[in-house]
Amino acid sequence: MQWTWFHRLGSPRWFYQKTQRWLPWLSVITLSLLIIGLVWGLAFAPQDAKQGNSFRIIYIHVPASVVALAGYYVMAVAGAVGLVWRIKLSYMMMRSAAPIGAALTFIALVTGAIWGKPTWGAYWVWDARITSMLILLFLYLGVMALRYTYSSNEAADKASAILSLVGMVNVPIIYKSVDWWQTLHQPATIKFTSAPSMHPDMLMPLVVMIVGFYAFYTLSLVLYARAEILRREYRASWVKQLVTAKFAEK
Amino acid sequence: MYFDSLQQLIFMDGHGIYVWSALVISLAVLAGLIIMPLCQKKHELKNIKLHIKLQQVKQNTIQTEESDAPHS
Repeated sequence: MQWTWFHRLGSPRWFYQKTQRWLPWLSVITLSLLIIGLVWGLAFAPQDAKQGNSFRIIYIHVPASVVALAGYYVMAVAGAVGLVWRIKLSYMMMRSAAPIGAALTFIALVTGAIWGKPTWGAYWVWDARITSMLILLFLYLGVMALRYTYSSNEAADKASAILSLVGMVNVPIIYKSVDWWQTLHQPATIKFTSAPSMHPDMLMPLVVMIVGFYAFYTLSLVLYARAEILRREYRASWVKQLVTAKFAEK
Repeated sequence: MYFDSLQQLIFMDGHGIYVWSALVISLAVLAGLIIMPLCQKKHELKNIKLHIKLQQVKQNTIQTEESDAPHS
Protein backbone atom coordinates (compact mmCIF):
# COMPACT_ATOMS: atom_id res chain seq x y z
CA MET A 1 0.00 0.00 0.00
CA GLN A 2 1.25 3.47 -0.85
CA TRP A 3 1.75 5.59 2.26
CA THR A 4 2.86 8.73 0.44
CA TRP A 5 -0.52 10.38 1.07
CA PHE A 6 0.02 9.99 4.83
CA HIS A 7 3.42 11.66 4.67
CA ARG A 8 2.07 14.42 2.45
CA LEU A 9 -0.73 14.98 4.95
CA GLY A 10 1.89 15.72 7.58
CA SER A 11 3.61 18.34 5.47
CA PRO A 12 2.77 21.94 6.44
CA ARG A 13 3.55 23.06 2.88
CA TRP A 14 1.14 20.54 1.32
CA PHE A 15 -1.57 21.46 3.85
CA TYR A 16 -1.14 25.21 3.29
CA GLN A 17 -1.29 24.93 -0.48
CA LYS A 18 -4.21 22.47 -0.58
CA THR A 19 -6.36 24.39 1.88
CA GLN A 20 -5.94 27.54 -0.20
CA ARG A 21 -8.23 25.86 -2.76
CA TRP A 22 -10.60 24.35 -0.18
CA LEU A 23 -11.31 27.57 1.72
CA PRO A 24 -13.83 29.22 -0.67
CA TRP A 25 -15.89 25.99 -0.90
CA LEU A 26 -15.76 25.40 2.82
CA SER A 27 -16.85 29.00 3.52
CA VAL A 28 -19.84 28.76 1.18
CA ILE A 29 -20.95 25.38 2.60
CA THR A 30 -20.59 26.62 6.21
CA LEU A 31 -22.44 29.88 5.65
CA SER A 32 -25.28 28.18 3.73
CA LEU A 33 -25.79 25.49 6.39
CA LEU A 34 -25.77 27.99 9.26
CA ILE A 35 -28.20 30.39 7.55
CA ILE A 36 -30.60 27.58 6.52
CA GLY A 37 -30.43 25.95 9.96
CA LEU A 38 -30.93 29.21 11.88
CA VAL A 39 -33.83 30.51 9.77
CA TRP A 40 -35.48 27.08 9.82
CA GLY A 41 -35.01 26.60 13.55
CA LEU A 42 -35.84 30.11 14.73
CA ALA A 43 -38.69 31.04 12.38
CA PHE A 44 -40.21 27.84 10.96
CA ALA A 45 -39.88 25.05 13.56
CA PRO A 46 -42.88 24.64 15.88
CA GLN A 47 -42.56 25.74 19.51
CA ASP A 48 -42.07 23.24 22.34
CA ALA A 49 -45.21 22.26 24.24
CA LYS A 50 -43.58 22.68 27.67
CA GLN A 51 -40.79 25.24 27.18
CA GLY A 52 -42.44 27.47 24.59
CA ASN A 53 -40.19 29.47 22.28
CA SER A 54 -37.20 29.52 24.64
CA PHE A 55 -36.45 25.98 23.41
CA ARG A 56 -35.21 27.57 20.13
CA ILE A 57 -31.90 28.23 21.91
CA ILE A 58 -31.34 24.49 21.31
CA TYR A 59 -30.37 25.34 17.70
CA ILE A 60 -27.21 27.07 18.97
CA HIS A 61 -26.65 25.39 22.34
CA VAL A 62 -26.65 21.75 21.23
CA PRO A 63 -24.49 22.17 18.06
CA ALA A 64 -21.94 24.26 20.01
CA SER A 65 -21.80 21.66 22.83
CA VAL A 66 -21.54 18.68 20.45
CA VAL A 67 -18.71 20.24 18.45
CA ALA A 68 -16.93 21.54 21.58
CA LEU A 69 -16.79 17.94 22.85
CA ALA A 70 -15.79 16.45 19.48
CA GLY A 71 -13.18 19.23 19.16
CA TYR A 72 -11.55 18.03 22.37
CA TYR A 73 -10.97 14.62 20.75
CA VAL A 74 -9.51 16.36 17.69
CA MET A 75 -7.10 18.31 19.93
CA ALA A 76 -6.12 15.29 22.04
CA VAL A 77 -5.67 12.95 19.05
CA ALA A 78 -3.56 15.60 17.26
CA GLY A 79 -1.45 15.91 20.44
CA ALA A 80 -1.05 12.11 20.66
CA VAL A 81 -0.01 11.88 16.98
CA GLY A 82 2.54 14.64 17.64
CA LEU A 83 3.93 12.82 20.69
CA VAL A 84 4.18 9.43 18.95
CA TRP A 85 5.22 10.30 15.38
CA ARG A 86 6.63 13.82 15.97
CA ILE A 87 4.65 15.19 13.06
CA LYS A 88 4.96 18.98 13.11
CA LEU A 89 1.57 19.62 11.54
CA SER A 90 -0.26 17.62 14.22
CA TYR A 91 1.11 19.89 16.97
CA MET A 92 0.03 22.90 14.91
CA MET A 93 -3.47 21.40 14.63
CA MET A 94 -3.53 20.78 18.39
CA ARG A 95 -2.64 24.41 19.08
CA SER A 96 -5.21 25.63 16.57
CA ALA A 97 -7.98 23.45 18.01
CA ALA A 98 -7.67 24.89 21.55
CA PRO A 99 -9.09 28.43 21.03
CA ILE A 100 -11.93 27.12 18.85
CA GLY A 101 -12.89 24.52 21.44
CA ALA A 102 -12.72 27.12 24.22
CA ALA A 103 -14.95 29.53 22.27
CA LEU A 104 -17.52 26.82 21.48
CA THR A 105 -17.58 25.67 25.12
CA PHE A 106 -18.08 29.31 26.12
CA ILE A 107 -21.03 29.56 23.69
CA ALA A 108 -22.49 26.33 25.11
CA LEU A 109 -22.21 27.64 28.69
CA VAL A 110 -23.58 31.13 27.95
CA THR A 111 -26.50 29.96 25.80
CA GLY A 112 -27.21 27.26 28.40
CA ALA A 113 -27.28 29.91 31.14
CA ILE A 114 -29.64 32.12 29.10
CA TRP A 115 -31.87 29.11 28.39
CA GLY A 116 -31.79 28.15 32.07
CA LYS A 117 -33.40 31.42 33.22
CA PRO A 118 -36.87 30.93 31.63
CA THR A 119 -36.74 27.12 32.05
CA TRP A 120 -35.28 26.57 35.54
CA GLY A 121 -35.57 30.11 36.92
CA ALA A 122 -31.78 30.44 37.33
CA TYR A 123 -28.88 31.31 35.06
CA TRP A 124 -26.49 28.96 36.81
CA VAL A 125 -26.71 25.84 38.95
CA TRP A 126 -23.79 23.68 40.08
CA ASP A 127 -25.20 20.78 38.16
CA ALA A 128 -23.04 17.78 37.05
CA ARG A 129 -23.39 18.52 33.31
CA ILE A 130 -22.78 22.27 33.64
CA THR A 131 -19.86 21.91 36.04
CA SER A 132 -18.15 19.29 33.86
CA MET A 133 -18.59 21.62 30.84
CA LEU A 134 -16.97 24.41 32.88
CA ILE A 135 -14.02 22.05 33.56
CA LEU A 136 -13.82 21.45 29.79
CA LEU A 137 -13.50 25.23 29.28
CA PHE A 138 -10.68 25.35 31.86
CA LEU A 139 -8.92 22.43 30.12
CA TYR A 140 -9.06 24.25 26.78
CA LEU A 141 -7.80 27.47 28.44
CA GLY A 142 -5.02 25.45 30.12
CA VAL A 143 -3.82 24.08 26.78
CA MET A 144 -3.88 27.63 25.37
CA ALA A 145 -1.99 29.07 28.36
CA LEU A 146 0.75 26.39 28.26
CA ARG A 147 1.97 27.94 25.01
CA TYR A 148 3.19 30.98 26.94
CA THR A 149 4.81 29.14 29.85
CA TYR A 150 7.66 27.59 27.84
CA SER A 151 10.24 29.43 25.79
CA SER A 152 10.65 26.55 23.34
CA ASN A 153 7.83 25.42 21.09
CA GLU A 154 8.82 21.77 21.46
CA ALA A 155 8.50 21.69 25.27
CA ALA A 156 5.20 23.63 25.15
CA ASP A 157 3.82 21.23 22.53
CA LYS A 158 4.66 18.17 24.60
CA ALA A 159 3.15 19.64 27.77
CA SER A 160 0.00 20.72 25.89
CA ALA A 161 -0.36 17.27 24.31
CA ILE A 162 -0.07 15.55 27.71
CA LEU A 163 -2.63 17.91 29.27
CA SER A 164 -4.98 17.29 26.32
CA LEU A 165 -4.68 13.53 26.72
CA VAL A 166 -5.18 13.61 30.51
CA GLY A 167 -8.18 15.92 30.11
CA MET A 168 -9.84 13.43 27.76
CA VAL A 169 -11.18 11.61 30.82
CA ASN A 170 -13.60 14.55 31.28
CA VAL A 171 -15.33 14.04 27.90
CA PRO A 172 -17.14 10.74 28.66
CA ILE A 173 -18.02 12.16 32.09
CA ILE A 174 -19.77 15.09 30.35
CA TYR A 175 -21.62 12.72 28.00
CA LYS A 176 -22.82 10.45 30.79
CA SER A 177 -23.31 13.11 33.52
CA VAL A 178 -27.06 13.34 32.86
CA ASP A 179 -27.40 9.56 33.34
CA TRP A 180 -25.01 9.10 36.26
CA TRP A 181 -26.24 11.95 38.46
CA GLN A 182 -29.57 13.55 39.30
CA THR A 183 -29.35 16.75 37.29
CA LEU A 184 -31.56 19.62 36.25
CA HIS A 185 -30.15 19.33 32.74
CA GLN A 186 -32.41 17.40 30.38
CA PRO A 187 -31.15 14.07 28.92
CA ALA A 188 -29.51 13.96 25.48
CA THR A 189 -31.93 14.80 22.65
CA ILE A 190 -30.06 12.81 20.01
CA LYS A 191 -28.51 9.45 20.87
CA PHE A 192 -26.77 6.87 18.72
CA THR A 193 -28.40 4.04 20.65
CA SER A 194 -32.06 5.11 20.46
CA ALA A 195 -34.52 7.13 18.39
CA PRO A 196 -34.42 10.91 18.96
CA SER A 197 -36.91 12.31 21.47
CA MET A 198 -37.84 15.21 19.17
CA HIS A 199 -40.48 15.67 16.51
CA PRO A 200 -38.92 15.54 13.01
CA ASP A 201 -40.04 19.15 12.34
CA MET A 202 -37.84 20.27 15.25
CA LEU A 203 -35.12 17.69 14.68
CA MET A 204 -34.29 18.45 11.03
CA PRO A 205 -33.10 22.07 11.56
CA LEU A 206 -31.08 20.83 14.55
CA VAL A 207 -29.32 18.27 12.36
CA VAL A 208 -28.60 20.99 9.76
CA MET A 209 -27.16 23.22 12.51
CA ILE A 210 -24.96 20.41 13.91
CA VAL A 211 -23.54 19.72 10.42
CA GLY A 212 -23.13 23.50 9.95
CA PHE A 213 -21.18 23.79 13.21
CA TYR A 214 -18.92 20.90 12.17
CA ALA A 215 -18.29 22.71 8.86
CA PHE A 216 -17.61 25.94 10.78
CA TYR A 217 -15.19 24.10 13.07
CA THR A 218 -13.30 22.75 10.07
CA LEU A 219 -13.17 26.21 8.47
CA SER A 220 -11.91 27.92 11.62
CA LEU A 221 -9.41 25.10 12.30
CA VAL A 222 -7.98 25.44 8.78
CA LEU A 223 -7.67 29.24 9.19
CA TYR A 224 -5.95 28.96 12.60
CA ALA A 225 -3.66 26.18 11.31
CA ARG A 226 -2.60 28.27 8.29
CA ALA A 227 -1.64 31.18 10.58
CA GLU A 228 0.22 28.77 12.89
CA ILE A 229 2.11 27.26 9.93
CA LEU A 230 3.33 30.73 8.91
CA ARG A 231 4.33 31.52 12.51
CA ARG A 232 6.46 28.39 12.85
CA GLU A 233 7.76 27.86 9.33
CA TYR A 234 8.91 31.44 8.65
CA ARG A 235 12.43 30.20 7.92
CA ALA A 236 11.30 27.66 5.28
CA SER A 237 12.18 28.60 1.71
CA TRP A 238 8.65 27.89 0.41
CA VAL A 239 7.23 30.40 2.94
CA LYS A 240 9.76 33.03 1.88
CA GLN A 241 8.90 32.44 -1.78
CA LEU A 242 5.21 32.66 -0.98
CA VAL A 243 5.59 35.95 0.92
CA THR A 244 7.90 37.49 -1.71
CA ALA A 245 5.44 36.57 -4.47
CA LYS A 246 2.48 37.84 -2.45
CA PHE A 247 4.02 41.26 -1.77
CA ALA A 248 5.40 41.52 -5.32
CA GLU A 249 1.79 41.28 -6.57
CA LYS A 250 0.82 44.40 -4.63
CA MET B 1 -43.29 30.71 8.90
CA TYR B 2 -44.44 29.44 12.30
CA PHE B 3 -45.22 32.98 13.54
CA ASP B 4 -48.07 35.09 12.17
CA SER B 5 -46.08 38.33 12.04
CA LEU B 6 -42.55 39.70 12.28
CA GLN B 7 -43.44 41.24 15.64
CA GLN B 8 -44.38 37.82 17.00
CA LEU B 9 -41.13 36.39 15.69
CA ILE B 10 -39.15 39.09 17.50
CA PHE B 11 -41.19 38.92 20.72
CA MET B 12 -41.62 35.10 20.81
CA ASP B 13 -44.25 35.25 23.59
CA GLY B 14 -41.82 36.91 25.97
CA HIS B 15 -38.91 34.55 25.19
CA GLY B 16 -37.49 36.69 22.37
CA ILE B 17 -35.00 38.45 24.66
CA TYR B 18 -33.48 35.09 25.66
CA VAL B 19 -33.39 33.60 22.16
CA TRP B 20 -32.07 36.69 20.37
CA SER B 21 -29.47 37.57 23.02
CA ALA B 22 -28.16 33.98 22.88
CA LEU B 23 -27.98 34.26 19.09
CA VAL B 24 -26.18 37.64 19.08
CA ILE B 25 -23.56 36.54 21.65
CA SER B 26 -22.95 33.27 19.77
CA LEU B 27 -22.64 34.95 16.37
CA ALA B 28 -20.17 37.50 17.81
CA VAL B 29 -17.98 34.68 19.21
CA LEU B 30 -18.20 32.72 15.93
CA ALA B 31 -17.23 35.84 13.96
CA GLY B 32 -14.21 36.18 16.27
CA LEU B 33 -13.16 32.61 15.39
CA ILE B 34 -12.90 33.66 11.73
CA ILE B 35 -11.52 37.19 12.17
CA MET B 36 -8.80 36.31 14.71
CA PRO B 37 -6.93 33.71 12.61
CA LEU B 38 -7.17 36.01 9.57
CA CYS B 39 -5.60 38.87 11.57
CA GLN B 40 -2.94 36.47 12.91
CA LYS B 41 -2.10 35.39 9.34
CA LYS B 42 -1.80 39.00 8.22
CA HIS B 43 0.48 39.73 11.18
CA GLU B 44 2.67 36.69 10.42
CA LEU B 45 2.96 37.64 6.73
CA LYS B 46 4.13 41.14 7.73
CA ASN B 47 6.67 39.65 10.18
CA ILE B 48 8.04 37.29 7.53
CA LYS B 49 8.32 40.14 5.04
CA LEU B 50 10.32 42.12 7.62
CA HIS B 51 12.49 39.07 8.32
CA ILE B 52 13.27 38.67 4.59
CA LYS B 53 14.15 42.38 4.28
CA LEU B 54 16.45 42.22 7.32
CA GLN B 55 18.22 39.20 5.86
CA GLN B 56 18.72 41.03 2.56
CA VAL B 57 20.15 44.09 4.33
CA LYS B 58 22.52 41.85 6.33
CA GLN B 59 23.70 40.06 3.18
CA ASN B 60 24.24 43.36 1.34
CA THR B 61 26.25 44.75 4.25
CA ILE B 62 28.49 41.67 4.36
CA GLN B 63 29.04 41.83 0.59
CA THR B 64 29.89 45.56 0.72
CA GLU B 65 32.31 45.03 3.64
CA GLU B 66 33.99 42.17 1.79
CA SER B 67 34.44 44.22 -1.41
CA ASP B 68 35.66 47.29 0.55
CA ALA B 69 38.22 45.31 2.55
CA PRO B 70 41.85 45.97 1.43
CA HIS B 71 43.35 43.10 -0.55
CA SER B 72 46.49 41.75 1.07
